[in-house]
Amino acid sequence: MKLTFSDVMLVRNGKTVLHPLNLELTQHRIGFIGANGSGKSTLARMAGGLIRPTSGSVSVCGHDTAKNEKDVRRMTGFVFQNPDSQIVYPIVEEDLAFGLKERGFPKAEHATRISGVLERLGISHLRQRLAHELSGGERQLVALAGVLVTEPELLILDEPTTLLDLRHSRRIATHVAALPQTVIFVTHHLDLLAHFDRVIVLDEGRVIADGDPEKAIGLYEKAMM
Amino acid sequence: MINGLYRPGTSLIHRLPAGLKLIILAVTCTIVFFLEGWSLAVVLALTVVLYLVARFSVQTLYSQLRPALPFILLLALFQVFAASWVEAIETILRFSSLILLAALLSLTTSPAALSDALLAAMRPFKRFGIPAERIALAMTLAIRFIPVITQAAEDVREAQRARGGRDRFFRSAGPTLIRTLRLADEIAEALEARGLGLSDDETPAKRTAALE
Repeated sequence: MKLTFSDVMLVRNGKTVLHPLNLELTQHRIGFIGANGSGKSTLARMAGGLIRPTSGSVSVCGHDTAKNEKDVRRMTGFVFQNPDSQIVYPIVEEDLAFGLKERGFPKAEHATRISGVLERLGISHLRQRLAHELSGGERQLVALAGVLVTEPELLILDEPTTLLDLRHSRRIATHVAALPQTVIFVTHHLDLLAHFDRVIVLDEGRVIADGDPEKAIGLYEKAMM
Repeated sequence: MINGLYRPGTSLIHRLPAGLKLIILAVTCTIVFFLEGWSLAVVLALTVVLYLVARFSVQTLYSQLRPALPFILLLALFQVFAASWVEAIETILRFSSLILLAALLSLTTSPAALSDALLAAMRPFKRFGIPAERIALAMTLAIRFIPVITQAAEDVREAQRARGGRDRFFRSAGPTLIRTLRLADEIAEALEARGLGLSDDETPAKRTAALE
């Protein structure tokens, strides 16, 4: 999996959200960190084709996110901070089927795929439950299941643990660590990135550090003093 | 209808096909509109029986009716002055039955099944450009987000109470609306991320227009 940001820049309402940047991401586990409003979530959304740059280009495995939007979206899965906005059907099983249906998976495969992912995440017992009755942690696991069930090649997680307690944060991190997919993890929970291959630090729309977790997090902490 | 959310179950009414239930509801409601006198009391009594068959308590039944009661009573009061006592009682019976029957449908039918049934009913109109899939999805989303938005409203009221403000509906309406609009943005983004429209040949612009 190769992600390339070439001379990417983003301007919104006259304000520069991302200053021109070039990045080539080939690692398996990549973390984006930075203060609120630093541009880390925007960068992650660009990688998934949800936001287009004002200038420059982003490509995922050679597919330009602007020209081949559907191809990029098909290979990418996104988990957001708030599972409430991500779970669109009231019952867990129906919600998981939604992604499969929209991505064109044959209906005959739905039940097996749903059972498989729920079992892998240890939440088979939630299959028939109403989403709004679940705890925040359970809902985030359901949101993750809703994405993993479609087996994306690239998984982007935007602060998925911010609203969770320690137990569920660790549970999400453990599941993510075991995934075969390439992962981009945007977070404020720096300890979750300890075993990552690469960490990119953003500040006011610029990359201020880029490297292994120890070095990058050290520079981030110093910059935030 | 706020309390009329699906409650999974195995009763006979739960197991009936959603499309059949929709047709029965439409036909019954039309008939109820033309009924008069004691037959309306029979309809309401039968509706109560249906709730028992679906294994719901009288409390559940009452909670479906409660939000609409002030409006029904107001309407009945108007009838007392404009028409007669008999018509006022008929109004109460008629509207209570209609609301309870509609709520019974949403209590016993999963939103996905309901949306599939609506989709099947709307399919013939697709050739006239009716976006059947999108209408069905919008309906499902509306049902799914009732508890989320109710919770958002409750959070706003709680925050206002914590800051010493009085609990007034109009004062919390603004912040609740802002939260809801923000949530709508997040949902639109999440729908796109989860693959909305990837299996058909819509363009993103068309999709955005349909959702708006």
